[in-house]
Amino acid sequence: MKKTLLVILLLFLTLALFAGCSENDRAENPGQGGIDVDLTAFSASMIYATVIDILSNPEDYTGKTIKAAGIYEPIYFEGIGRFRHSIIVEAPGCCPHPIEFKLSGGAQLGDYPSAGASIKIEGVFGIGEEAGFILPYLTVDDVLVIE
Amino acid sequence: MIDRLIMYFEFPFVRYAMLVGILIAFCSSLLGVTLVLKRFSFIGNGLSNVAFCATAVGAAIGFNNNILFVLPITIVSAVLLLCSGKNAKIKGDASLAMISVGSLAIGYLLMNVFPQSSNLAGDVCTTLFGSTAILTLGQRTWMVWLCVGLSVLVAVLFLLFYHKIFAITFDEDFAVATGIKAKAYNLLLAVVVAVIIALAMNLVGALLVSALVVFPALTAMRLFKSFKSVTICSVIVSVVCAAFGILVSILFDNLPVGSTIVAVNIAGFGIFSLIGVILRR
Amino acid sequence: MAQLTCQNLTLGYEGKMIVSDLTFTVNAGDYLCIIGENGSGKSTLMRTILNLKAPMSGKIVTGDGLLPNEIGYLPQQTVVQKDFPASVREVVRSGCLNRCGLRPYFNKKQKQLVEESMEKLGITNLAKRCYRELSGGQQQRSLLARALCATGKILLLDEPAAGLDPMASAEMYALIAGLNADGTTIIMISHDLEASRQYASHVLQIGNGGVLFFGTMADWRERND
Repeated sequence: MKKTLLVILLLFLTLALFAGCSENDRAENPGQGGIDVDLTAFSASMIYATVIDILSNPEDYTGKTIKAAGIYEPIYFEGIGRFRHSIIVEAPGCCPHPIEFKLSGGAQLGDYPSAGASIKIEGVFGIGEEAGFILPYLTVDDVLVIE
Repeated sequence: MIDRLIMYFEFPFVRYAMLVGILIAFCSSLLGVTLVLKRFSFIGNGLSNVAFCATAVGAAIGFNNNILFVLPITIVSAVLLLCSGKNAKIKGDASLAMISVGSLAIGYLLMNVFPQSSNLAGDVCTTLFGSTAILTLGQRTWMVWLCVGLSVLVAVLFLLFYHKIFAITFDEDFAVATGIKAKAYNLLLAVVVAVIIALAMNLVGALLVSALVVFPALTAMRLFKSFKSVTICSVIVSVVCAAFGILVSILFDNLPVGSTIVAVNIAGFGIFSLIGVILRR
Repeated sequence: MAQLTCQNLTLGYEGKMIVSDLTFTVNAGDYLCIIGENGSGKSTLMRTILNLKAPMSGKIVTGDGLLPNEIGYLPQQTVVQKDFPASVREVVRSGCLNRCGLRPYFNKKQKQLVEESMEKLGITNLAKRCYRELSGGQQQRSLLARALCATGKILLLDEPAAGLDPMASAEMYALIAGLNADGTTIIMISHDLEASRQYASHVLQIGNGGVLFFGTMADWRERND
């Protein structure tokens, strides 16, 4: 009996080590077509959890290509005095978490879709700093508007 | 599907969720055997409602780190409930019912009077039924380490005091009469139960914690006949069901983690009961 | 020197006295039968001797080398136990726990003791069986073996034949008498006057809040025949 419980104990310690060591090893394998994180292919709870992870640990996703689908919403952020063009990724539960994206190549306001449109975007994740705020965002080549 | 799972598992927060889920299942099933046999099956519910109330109180008075506030209160309640034993003026299940419903009501009242966010219903629902909180442990890795530490502690304590736990579960009077310090062991049990419930509540929700404590033990008892085999089986069943529940829940939409794990446990109970009936023929 | 002496014990619950001025002695090797009406305080007395309950006044003195936790106990079965998933061996083994101290496992000597106790009670063949599947008589024998493991010196039995059919009852009393013959002191609460007549060496009758009779079986027979 003692032996069995000892074995179980060892198993858990191994699992724990495994989880601990993996801190440095985030989603490294690039997926299909160079997309590292394809939120459009995730289940609802994974979408929610991944978005939270992206926003809580942005350093781990810097440089990764992320694809997402959601609702476009320009959110005014007083701290930096401008609108942040954000995608609110469709996910269950409360409190939708918006991710900002910026169109590359000197885009104008008119290049962004109308508020509330369903969009799909794919871009590289990065972190910027404005007026003392650390702001993560996706750099996106273009926005696909779905009707 | 397997490919998807492998891809999901590249994310650390998924690995944490699996680890923590398994560890909590491990701890609660170990204690579940004793609690069920001592006829305290509803303790999970009672204590987690107290924890819910404590969370509401903590939020109302502005506490940031909830667990430091919730834990002592839960421990005290556990001690009061489990250690009053035969001396209590109000017997076991009645006192549990009072505390259970009372704290739920007060907790909800406080959450309405001092709302913490604009989404009151969501907050309440989350606390009661759990949420995807188990999947967002990437922001709170301290919780993962806490769970690991706690599991090791529970396993060690259980190993050390196995025979004494058996004695006070089977026949507390006899144990006391032959000189075993039953009161001390009951106290230990109460404290450990409280800690596990305070943690488990965060992940599967207050209303479902009882299931984690109760189902594996009952499932094991369908088929196994000695205390040792029931305990071991209970742990294995609990861990397997939790792991499977988490996997299923992250693969498919609209399957909240807590309820999925309980559903898998129910299926497990059904299967074992069926096997038990067949074997008895 | 007496193994157990109760001096002027007053027992009660919440300030209400049930029995007062209880005085009697038990010597090594005695077979004392405690009789009395329901509610007269027999079980309370037993629980007091076992330190499960404090007396309202008076004291209990152990002597003749008897340590306070060397008293074996066969309580009335609880509902919990009848349905408990445990093997007979696990149940009997738990009797040895008081000899373990902080040690988390049973040593060879104790495992040996378990086997011997089971043999004395004729339940070795039931060792691996599940306790809840046994008959009433078999369960009682397992509990008696457990009590034996706790001590070989003195056993306190609370209605050991309760719920048993006449044959199992008779077997139980014979077994207990056998243990007494081997040198174990027996203190037994029993409603069964016939059985006590046959085996007991001393009688303690409690009633009306006090001692109605304490003395040898011979004296008792004289009084009541």
